[in-house]
Amino acid sequence: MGNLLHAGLSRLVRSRIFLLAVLAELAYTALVVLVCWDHYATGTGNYTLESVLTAGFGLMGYLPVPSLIAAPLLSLHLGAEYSDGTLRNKLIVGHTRTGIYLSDLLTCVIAAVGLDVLYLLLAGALCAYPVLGMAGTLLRVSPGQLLAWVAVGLLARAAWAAAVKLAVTLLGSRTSASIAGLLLVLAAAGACSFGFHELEYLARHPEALNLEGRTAFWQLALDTLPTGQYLQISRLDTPNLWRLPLLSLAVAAAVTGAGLVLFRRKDLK
Amino acid sequence: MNNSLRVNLLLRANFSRLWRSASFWTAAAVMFAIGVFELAAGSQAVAFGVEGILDNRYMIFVLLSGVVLSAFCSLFVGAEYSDGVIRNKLAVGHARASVYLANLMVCSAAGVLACLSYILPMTAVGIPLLGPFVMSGASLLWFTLCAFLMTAALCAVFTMIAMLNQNKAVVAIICIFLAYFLLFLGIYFNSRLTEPAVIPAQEYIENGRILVREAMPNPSYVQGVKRTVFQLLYDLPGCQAVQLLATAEARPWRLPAVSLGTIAASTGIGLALFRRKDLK
Repeated sequence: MGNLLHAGLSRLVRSRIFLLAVLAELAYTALVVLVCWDHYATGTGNYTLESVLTAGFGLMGYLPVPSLIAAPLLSLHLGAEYSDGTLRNKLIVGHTRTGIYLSDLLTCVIAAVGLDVLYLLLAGALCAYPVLGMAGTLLRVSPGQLLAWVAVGLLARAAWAAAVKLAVTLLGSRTSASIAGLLLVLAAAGACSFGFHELEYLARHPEALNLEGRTAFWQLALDTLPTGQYLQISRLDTPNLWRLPLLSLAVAAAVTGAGLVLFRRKDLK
Repeated sequence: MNNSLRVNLLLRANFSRLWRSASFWTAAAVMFAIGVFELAAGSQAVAFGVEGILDNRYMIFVLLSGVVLSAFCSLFVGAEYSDGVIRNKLAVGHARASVYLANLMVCSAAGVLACLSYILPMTAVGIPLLGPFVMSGASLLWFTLCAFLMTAALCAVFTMIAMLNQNKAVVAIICIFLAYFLLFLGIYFNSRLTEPAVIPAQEYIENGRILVREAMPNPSYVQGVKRTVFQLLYDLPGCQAVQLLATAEARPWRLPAVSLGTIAASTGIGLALFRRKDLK
């Protein structure tokens, strides 16, 4: 499996789509940094570094931009295994289907988490000075809280990458997988926006029907969906932080299990 | 065989493929499902006594049509390359311009049909369920026409991209990103252009005393050349969707002109480049 992982990472790093994804991530980072410096220069901002860093998971609590960058990267990389016949070759030389699936999954996790870490490092380094100038302090939350948010976000990214791997395995085509990946990111963002709206509505209307059940349902949905977790983190509002990593692990385990079962039975042409 | 007959044959073949296309029916089903969802959400709002619900929800399809059709156009036109259909059409003597125009017409028609699959439940069930439209029938028809033209303009751009690139996956990603980009650009322009020029005077209480803050110019108000540029870009198809949704702020006489201009420009560029393209 080590050889498969090495080969997968090597192919990913040399691909043009990886270069484009890194450039897109750098462009997004540059946008956030420029806005931060502009706020500092005009004196119109008063936020601290946790707001800047958690924007690496979602923009303004609504749009998971990094997912939009990572979705085509992973779909095209994984889909190419089907279209280029790489999967067949791997099986012919004696690798097991489980080994191939898990090595692909690890490649995806490393690539997706790597892009997030790139944002965190660059945005953290380039925004520290203007943030200190604007707010007089780097953080308004404890460093432990910030680290917990980052760790939970990165774990959610791993669960999300596992879900993308499952989607590509199901569809078996890089075109369908790319389209499905991009549309699902936005559908998940839309569903989460609706969920946040519902929770705000229920908080304002204690007389609403089945208040507890509806609140619990929407909170669970937002806590379970990786996109829901990113957006909660980017809003700096995670009422159930303790259960988010557990749910991410459960999602990753469930989709990987389902993907392995499907992939073992899949007819590879 | 004359040219119009050849285009007719291509159109008939393309429409025949459209009716069997899973991507078309998926796009139509997605739009229909969104229509039903909006109806359900609207009926909840009616229960709380909100008025003008149907007007607010009717135009929501313009926000989504670009994204849905970006995926459809890239798959539908991309299949022509991956299945060797374009090569076959050229081999039997069809002109490149006819092949391009036939694809453009079918994609635009599919776009309008997908929009209709949203409008159908919204009007057929929406009027009895949510009450009649508040805006006049003429305005409604005009805005719907503007929305159809914008959809056709987006389809023309997506068709151009798909006809000029043989990689279906790359085309799909470019088209979907373009659709999102235009939509978010429209939302940004809307927020900047609707900033008031003056922040009105305001009374507030501080330490038990009532103080008055004088009216002052809004520093975020966009003016001069920047405002003109923003207004021009706000009329682009995709960005137009936000204008059409906020119908009170829309400048409807300009929108169809910009859509028709986009169709003409993208088709002209697409045709010129497609004629020179090396089809493998």
